[in-house]
Amino acid sequence: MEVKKIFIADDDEAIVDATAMMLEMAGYEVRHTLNGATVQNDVLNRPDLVLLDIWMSGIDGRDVCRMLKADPATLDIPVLMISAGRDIKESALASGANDFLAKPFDMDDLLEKVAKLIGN
Amino acid sequence: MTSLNSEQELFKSLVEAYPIPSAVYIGEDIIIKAANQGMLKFWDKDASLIGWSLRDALPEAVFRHFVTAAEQVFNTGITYHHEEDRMLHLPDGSRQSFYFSHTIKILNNPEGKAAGLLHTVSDITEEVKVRAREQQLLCLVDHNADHMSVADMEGNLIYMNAAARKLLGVDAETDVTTLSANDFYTAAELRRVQETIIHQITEHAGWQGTIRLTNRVTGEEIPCHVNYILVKNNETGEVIGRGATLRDLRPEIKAKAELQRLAMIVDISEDFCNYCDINGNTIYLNAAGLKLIGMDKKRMTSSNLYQYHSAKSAEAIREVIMPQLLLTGKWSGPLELVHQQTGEIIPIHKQLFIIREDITNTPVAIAGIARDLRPEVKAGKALDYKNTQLQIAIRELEFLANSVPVVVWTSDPQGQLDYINQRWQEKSPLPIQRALGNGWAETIHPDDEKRAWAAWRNSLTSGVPYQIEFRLLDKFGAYRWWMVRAIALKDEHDRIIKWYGSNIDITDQKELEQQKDNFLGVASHELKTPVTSIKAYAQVMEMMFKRAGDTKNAGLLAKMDSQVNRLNTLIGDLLEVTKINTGRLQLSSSRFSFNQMVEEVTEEVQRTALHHEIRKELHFDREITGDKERIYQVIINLLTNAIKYSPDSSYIIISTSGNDDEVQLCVQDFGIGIKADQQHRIFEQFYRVSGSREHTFPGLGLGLYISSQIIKHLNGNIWVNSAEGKGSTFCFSLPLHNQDKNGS
Repeated sequence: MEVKKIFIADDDEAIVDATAMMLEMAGYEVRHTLNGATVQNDVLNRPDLVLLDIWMSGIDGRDVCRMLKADPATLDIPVLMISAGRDIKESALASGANDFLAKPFDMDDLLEKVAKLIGN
Repeated sequence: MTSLNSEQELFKSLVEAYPIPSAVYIGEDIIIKAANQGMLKFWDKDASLIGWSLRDALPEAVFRHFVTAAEQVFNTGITYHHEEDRMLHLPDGSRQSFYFSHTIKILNNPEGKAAGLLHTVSDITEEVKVRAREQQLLCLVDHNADHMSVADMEGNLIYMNAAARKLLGVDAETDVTTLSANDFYTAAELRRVQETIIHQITEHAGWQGTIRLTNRVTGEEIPCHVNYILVKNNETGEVIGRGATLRDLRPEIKAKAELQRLAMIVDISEDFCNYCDINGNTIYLNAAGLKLIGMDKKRMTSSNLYQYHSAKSAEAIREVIMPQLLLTGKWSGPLELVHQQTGEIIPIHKQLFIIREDITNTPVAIAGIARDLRPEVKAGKALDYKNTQLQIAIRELEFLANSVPVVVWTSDPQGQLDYINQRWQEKSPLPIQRALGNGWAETIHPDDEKRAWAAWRNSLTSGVPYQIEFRLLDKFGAYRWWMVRAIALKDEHDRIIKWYGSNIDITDQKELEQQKDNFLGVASHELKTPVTSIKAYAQVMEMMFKRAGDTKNAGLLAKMDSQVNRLNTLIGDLLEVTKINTGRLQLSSSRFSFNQMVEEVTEEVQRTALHHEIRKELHFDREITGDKERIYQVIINLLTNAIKYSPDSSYIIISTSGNDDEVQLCVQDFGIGIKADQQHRIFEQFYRVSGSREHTFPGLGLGLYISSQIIKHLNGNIWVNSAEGKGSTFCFSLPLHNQDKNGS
């Protein structure tokens, strides 16, 4: 079975590092960026899932999500929005994300949502 | 023959000597045998016609009927007599009427046969003329408008003219001579007439005065002015009766009464009334007039219009008013009187009229009515004073209104602004005059317009205080936030008289709130970010230890994870309180099974509650509408509190119940309990149960505050029953309908 690829976009290096470890332990292949502005380009190699932070330096994750969902080339890639900010539920729904997870999160919750979106 | 001839001569001489016109005719041919000078003069002929037949001697048409009459008398023997034969004669060249009486008698011979005729004529012209004059006079009297009657001295009526008949009720058919004058007097008057008046008439040849007479038909008593005169025989001087002329006094009495009433009205009128001749000399001044100008009644008739008006007014009357009066007949306007004793100038409003003589229309008098204007002037001054006071009060109020650092306004009951203070001008681009009415609404932010109007209309209709925040355009084209409040002033019938409003600029406050909000957003994000990575690392490490079979270290990391969770809860609570305090607690609404949610919460809490069993007594199994996550949050709070504050207890109880209107949930613990005097404060912000062991129950004291606020926002109630040392039962209830207060 082919390993599922997950792309993480978050400007906090520690979170990216720890989250990547969780996902790799669960058997996913993980790539990431700390620069939200490059996401559109980064996802051209078609990951199976994008974990997208909202408050990133230089760019708003909601705008990134809207661009992904507006582009025919990327609109089918599931986006799991993850944020420590307020009103994450409203933000996720408004920008077209497939699901959301509030920071800080339980590893179990993360893996459950990921599995639900792309299978294990 | 001689004897006959001598007899004839004698007869002829007799005829000629007869003092009245006479003639003797002989034979059936009616031959004029003799005619005296009187007859010749009547015929206007001379003696030459003697011996002629009458027919030939008097061929003139005017005599024809005598000729015919003479012939008839001769043939029939019947005497002819004719009175008042009118003849036109021209004896002295002028045409005149003469009246004659004719008598033609037969003269028989000794044999008793007709031998001749004796014709005598008497001139009755004077007699006829006198009779005609009498007739004319009687007609005049009879048709005279004055009432006249004649009676003899015993009172028997002889004559009554038509006017008197009508007045006293005697119809034309009644013969007045059958009546007595006494029939027309009233009983009282009859005595007076018989005892006094009759004597006076006799002694003084007449009497005049007022007598009450009675109308025979209607019985009405008629006051009459009666003038009696004695009627005497012209020749003998003998008293033959009394004549009376009557004047019906009723119209005069009525007119006089009316005049008296009118005079009385003028007399008692409180207005100044005067009447003067065309030169201004006073004829009459009523009591009010005399009093107003302080004039003695004795001096009234010697006073003058120009004298009791002020010099200025007198000049105006002379120069302006009189010419106008004479032209138009009336004038009205302000004038001044002068008090005759004090010299006070009295302002009046005067109306003047010209009185003209009936027939010639010559102006004869001036009538005037004046109203004393002093009370009005005084009232006007009092009003002026009050107005001044009011103006001062208004100025003071306006100063006050303008000195307060808020916009102050008033509106009529319909919501139309009728006053805005100067503060408005400092912020608004709209001049106050344009902002009045509904003008202010031009500057409202489009997003706030509908909401603001709805609230304003609601207040105008219901009278409830108006309170709202909205944005208005400022001078620089930006919008500023205003806190707008208004309360209604009501009358004793609870009707709104006016709205008093104020606008407070809360833009800075709003900005500050926004900054605080932004800061909290950033702070929470920045706090949660390291918490997120710590938690993630801890979980990764725990997983690693677990996989390596190192349960001890895995356990340590699990503890670390739960502490991170506590830290996260504290951060969350702080943010939640901020949201509540800034009125931005957002509620959502969905339909869900209450029972199922309680099961989920219980399961979640039970997972981490190692020493307590959560016993369930669930008796409400229906769906409700509300914010599921928030209610979930409240139940978690109550369960974790129950566990936290009952460390020595092995279980807690969660129970539900409900009816058609509401659902109730209670969490009971058997822990330390809450002192009675502290129970009412338990839902306050930052309040924590105090006691010797308080430090052993960590927390910020925000949980129950947040829970109570959430329940309040859902229109529910939250309360506690507790006994110190025995435990507490926290309950909340939620209405099944209309749970959402914010409408979001």
